[in-house]
Amino acid sequence: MGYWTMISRFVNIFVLLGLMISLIFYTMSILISKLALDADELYDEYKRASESTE
Amino acid sequence: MELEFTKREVVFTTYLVKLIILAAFPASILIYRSKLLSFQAFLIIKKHQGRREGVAYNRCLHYLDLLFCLSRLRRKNYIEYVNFRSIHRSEFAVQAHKAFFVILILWVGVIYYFSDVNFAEFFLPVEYVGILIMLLFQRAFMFVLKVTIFWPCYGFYAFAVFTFKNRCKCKKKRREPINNDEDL
Repeated sequence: MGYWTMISRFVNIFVLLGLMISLIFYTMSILISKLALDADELYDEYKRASESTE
Repeated sequence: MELEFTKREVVFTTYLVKLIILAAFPASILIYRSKLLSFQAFLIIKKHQGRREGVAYNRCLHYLDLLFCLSRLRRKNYIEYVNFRSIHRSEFAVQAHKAFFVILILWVGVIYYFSDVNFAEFFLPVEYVGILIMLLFQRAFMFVLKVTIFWPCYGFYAFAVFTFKNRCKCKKKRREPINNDEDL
């Protein structure tokens, strides 16, 4: 098997690893912001917003 | 005054949103597991596993065996791997697709359900699902990428060839075409 065939096959693995790592880091960054969600606070805010529109 | 959503729904959805984000980790592991069986390069790595000696075996590829971490495939040798691959490849691929589509359906469901009210906290970014899609349909994306970059690359190549073709001074001697009928 030629070197270029080998390299083109192995590029797939590096793309896969890059996507996995970026997904994990991106998910971590979303997690930090979204895990702090408080349902009570959200509902109060939603209530207030709907009252003010009426 | 009657609100559109009850408190119960909001509480449920906050937990659901957290679950959707956390589900990315097992889903990515499932996708990686299916890729371990579907890519040709992993087959080559497996072939060179175990520090075998001989002209046909490359010892540098032995270190890429670390890519089989977190998998029971690590313990298998080449023959066992080939057998396992032929039996379980489609099954693993189906599991990866299932995991992804569960996340996708939940994500779209949350967005659709709260689309009337502006609940910005529940809307997960598009990039999150975008990376998952690219991970799952990697081959298709790589193919599209190849097709896209072909024409610029070919344009550069054609430009280089047609401008610098006759300017090289060290011309090689052209070989005579072989005539097979000559001896007959």
